[in-house]
Amino acid sequence: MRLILSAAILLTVAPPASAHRLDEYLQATRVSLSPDRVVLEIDLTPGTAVAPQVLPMIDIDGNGQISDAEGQSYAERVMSDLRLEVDGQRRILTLVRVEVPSVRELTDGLGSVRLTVEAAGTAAAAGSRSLWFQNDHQPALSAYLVNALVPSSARIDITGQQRDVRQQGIRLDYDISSDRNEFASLWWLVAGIAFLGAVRHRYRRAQA
Amino acid sequence: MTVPRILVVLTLVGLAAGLATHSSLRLHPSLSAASQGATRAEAPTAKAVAAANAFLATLDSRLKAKTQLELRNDLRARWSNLPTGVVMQADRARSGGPFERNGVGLGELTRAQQDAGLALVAATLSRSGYQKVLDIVNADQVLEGTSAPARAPGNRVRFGRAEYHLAILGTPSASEPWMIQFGGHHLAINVTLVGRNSVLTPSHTGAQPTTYTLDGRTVRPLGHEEEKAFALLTTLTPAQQKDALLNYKVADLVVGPGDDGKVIQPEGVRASGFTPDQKDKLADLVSEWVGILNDAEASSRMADIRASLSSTYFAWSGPTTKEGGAYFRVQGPTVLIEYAPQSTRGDDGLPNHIHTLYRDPTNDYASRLAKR
Repeated sequence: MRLILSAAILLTVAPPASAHRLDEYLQATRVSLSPDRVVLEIDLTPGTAVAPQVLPMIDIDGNGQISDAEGQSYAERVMSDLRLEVDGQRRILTLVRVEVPSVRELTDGLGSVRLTVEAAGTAAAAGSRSLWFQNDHQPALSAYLVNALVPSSARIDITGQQRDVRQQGIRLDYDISSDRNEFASLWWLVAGIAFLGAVRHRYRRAQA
Repeated sequence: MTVPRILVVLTLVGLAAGLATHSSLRLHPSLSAASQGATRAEAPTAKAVAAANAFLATLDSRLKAKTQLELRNDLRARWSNLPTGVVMQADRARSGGPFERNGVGLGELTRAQQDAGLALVAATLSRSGYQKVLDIVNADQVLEGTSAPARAPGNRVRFGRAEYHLAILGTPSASEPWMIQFGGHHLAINVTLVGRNSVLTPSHTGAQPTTYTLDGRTVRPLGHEEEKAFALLTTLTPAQQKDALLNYKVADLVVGPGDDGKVIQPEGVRASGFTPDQKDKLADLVSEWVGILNDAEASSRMADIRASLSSTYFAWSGPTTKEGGAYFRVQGPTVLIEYAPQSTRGDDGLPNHIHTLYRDPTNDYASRLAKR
């Protein structure tokens, strides 16, 4: 009861002066590895103090509305500032999806542009690999996060992660093991053939 | 060796190898005896069901329709750290697109209805957990007091107690799954109840300001979290600290609201080399989040987490002195906790704005229980 009463008391306190304000353009990237592709999920959230600098890059005609074409154009602009290498070879990034909030939400510092991009056709063969990702989009305004997701494929084992202090870049070392599904299928095939062979041999002996 | 014997040997070898490979693909995190024991005599579900029905009985049909929603995957994902007055974003695939917080706001309710609603929240939590919830709500009331006079015309963002929302997803039941959501700015309490069990993950706590006074008492809603993490850090050997310290800044939560189902690669020092005292301190730190839930469920969860402490990582980014502002993370097979101070500072120069998140990658929204 005392707890509920304390909640009901209207507060007349002297709080520290503060406000819900963000002065950075937060760019959070998650790197998802699979044997044949790398997927990047990037959330870009401008704080209220930097939104006036970010918004003209997105709402290009300044009409207070963000069209699909403007969203696509901004996504391409961001992608041009990204660099992804696998085993030292630069990979071409393809835009999978872009979601853009309203101008109002961006102005309030409470909306995120969400991009999904991917680099397909990375080597799927077993072996040790390394990935390097660098985000150079608006470094003067931005704070960065970059993390690897636990791979959904059991064939991939991330063995090392290295970042710079701002998290603009990350290097991931990982191993791809051989496809155990293929081995499993092979062993089942061997067992099946051997079993049929044994049955046939026994049948022939019985006939004789 | 005769031909038939060779074939039999090949058959057995093939079967054994096939089975071994096949079973290794199906490995999943094992459940401890504690988590499997769902037959506690004093399960709090009955208490929660009674409190939920009592609360719903105070509402008219309009408020009831607003409060009681379907238990659907997209609806349960509609929670956030953000204040009300904004349309929140989340992964469209999970929450169905931009959304407003579920449920009815306390400001829409009479005093008696508010009391009944808060009694429902209290029924699912521990005493200390409920107090923490109140401390967070009161911090936001403080924030409203400082923000309102300076609020620009047309700014829809609102803070304060009236803006906290309470929702019931599904039908209160002692056997079927249902859910309670209580949240607002810097708070998302998501309790999923399945039979006798209740699950608190995913849940979010935060605070702004991080320190305030109420009735002459200094309140730090997340003070224990910071103190316990620092206490653990100071017990680490130089070699352990070297592993624990991340060499980069972490500006916010990595797996925040809207990021359900994402599991990041662990980093930091692995607790397998911890002394018993260090393990106790790590468990004590984790209990600040786990212990928000009612005591019976929290002790079961803690047993689960303690059983896998050796596979749990502790990571720290930022100052290692008590000046504050450091980010830390605890990540184990069934737990992910993040504590992320924001860049804003108070008049005293210390961080005055913190976000935290508590997840169980194997059982958010009681997904593991629902599969049984």
